[in-house]
Amino acid sequence: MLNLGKFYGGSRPQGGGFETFSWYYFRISGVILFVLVIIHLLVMHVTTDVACTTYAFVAGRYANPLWRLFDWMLLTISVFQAAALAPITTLADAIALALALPRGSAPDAER
Amino acid sequence: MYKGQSGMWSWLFHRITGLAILVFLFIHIVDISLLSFGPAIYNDGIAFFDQIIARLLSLGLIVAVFYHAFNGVRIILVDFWRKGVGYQKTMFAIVLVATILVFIPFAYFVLKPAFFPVIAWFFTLPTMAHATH
Repeated sequence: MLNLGKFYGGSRPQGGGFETFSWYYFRISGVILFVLVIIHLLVMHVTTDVACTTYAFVAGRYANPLWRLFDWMLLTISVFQAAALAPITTLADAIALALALPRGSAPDAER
Repeated sequence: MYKGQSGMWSWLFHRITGLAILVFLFIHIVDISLLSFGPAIYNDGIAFFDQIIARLLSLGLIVAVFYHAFNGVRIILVDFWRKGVGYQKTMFAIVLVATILVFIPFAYFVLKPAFFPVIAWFFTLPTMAHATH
């Protein structure tokens, strides 16, 4: 039977390989992204108003290479999560709903 | 059973907020790339974010990001924490409450610049009237 649930959670893939690697990758990078995105929102919406994040503001931040690293990580992780997960999960969900297949294991069905 | 339970809503919200963030991310890459056209063009672009419609859209994005972030942690806990599956409904409730609680102060900071002139006008009206006459 098709196990579409394996792409968006479900039981942990066993036996190593790309599937196991990607399963861990999205969860670990998700934790990093959680921290980065909250700091990003605080910096851009609380400590400074978005309308004040001018060219000079960006230049001032980028004088510090750590902010460049911060933004590079934020961009890479978020684009990779979005670009890799969105099409796969949306497609898998659409197929699963269209065919009315059982959605993976029991814990997955509660997710 | 799956349909209509909390699992369906957490999954559906996770997909909707994920797609909304994806769309914003592509727009955000374009608007940040205006930096390469120099200060004049970039600052003109950034001025859009001062408009009330941009502030309301920002609030929608902030809710989406916080829900997606908190629910992502919940999914990770279900996967890695031995008792995670048993607490998934409780954790969904915590996700919803945390999203609302974090959203309120953010909404204050995002909307303050839009309403501050109105509030200031309201409070300084007698002084202003006095000064102009």
